[in-house]
Amino acid sequence: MYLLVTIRIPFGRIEFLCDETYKPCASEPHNATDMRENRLVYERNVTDIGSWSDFSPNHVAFALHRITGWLLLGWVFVHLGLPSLLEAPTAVYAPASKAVIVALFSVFLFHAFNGVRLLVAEFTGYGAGAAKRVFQGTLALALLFTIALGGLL
Amino acid sequence: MKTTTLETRTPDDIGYFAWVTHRLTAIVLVFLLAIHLGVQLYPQYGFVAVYTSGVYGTLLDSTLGLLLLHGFLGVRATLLETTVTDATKTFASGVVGLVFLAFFVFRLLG
Repeated sequence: MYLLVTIRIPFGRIEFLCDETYKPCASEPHNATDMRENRLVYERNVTDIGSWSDFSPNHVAFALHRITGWLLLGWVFVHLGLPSLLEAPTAVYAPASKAVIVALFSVFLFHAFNGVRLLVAEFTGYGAGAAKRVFQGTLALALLFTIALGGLL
Repeated sequence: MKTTTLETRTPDDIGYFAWVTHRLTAIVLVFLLAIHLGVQLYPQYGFVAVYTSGVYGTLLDSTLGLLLLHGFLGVRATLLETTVTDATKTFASGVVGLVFLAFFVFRLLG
């Protein structure tokens, strides 16, 4: 059985035919969403541990982007919010420990690099067809920069 | 033939102004936060010039303002994806927006 799939994208929609495994029958549009996402995220047999090496990069990246975003907002509260309320309006809490700075760097750098990946994918479509590799590249870049900037402290 | 529609997040759901603002503030914040971290943690690599030039205070105020705007839009995007009623979403994002704005003004005047 063939499915006619409609994907809503930022400035329009893409329509194409695919089979029941969401594999497109015609050539795939360069910025099509990963069709396997539903199967990987919602229809997975969770007890099959081996299947988890096959993950949905877009879904994992989205979840991590939200989590790191909330963590960074929490850091702004500790860095500026609490000192404002407890000491003086312009007071600042700056971390003294290297470990805390490196941990903050890892959260911030993932959020930043993943944000850039997102912008590039949204505006140019680049990387949308190789989501897993680009996501792994984002993680690698964040890790490399965390180590490099931590080492320079 | 069976027809399937896959819903993805688009400016249609978030609002075009919010969607564009969220991304524009993200791009500017990359540079502003790089300067902030450079001045605070790596002054020996030339960043001390930013501090001595006298524009650092203005840059910090801009960073906080844009960061709170970016954070507010992120909180709002999360709220829009929840299953609470539209009235609750409007009320909650309004409260968060006012708290962020009050905090920004409080620090700026302080």
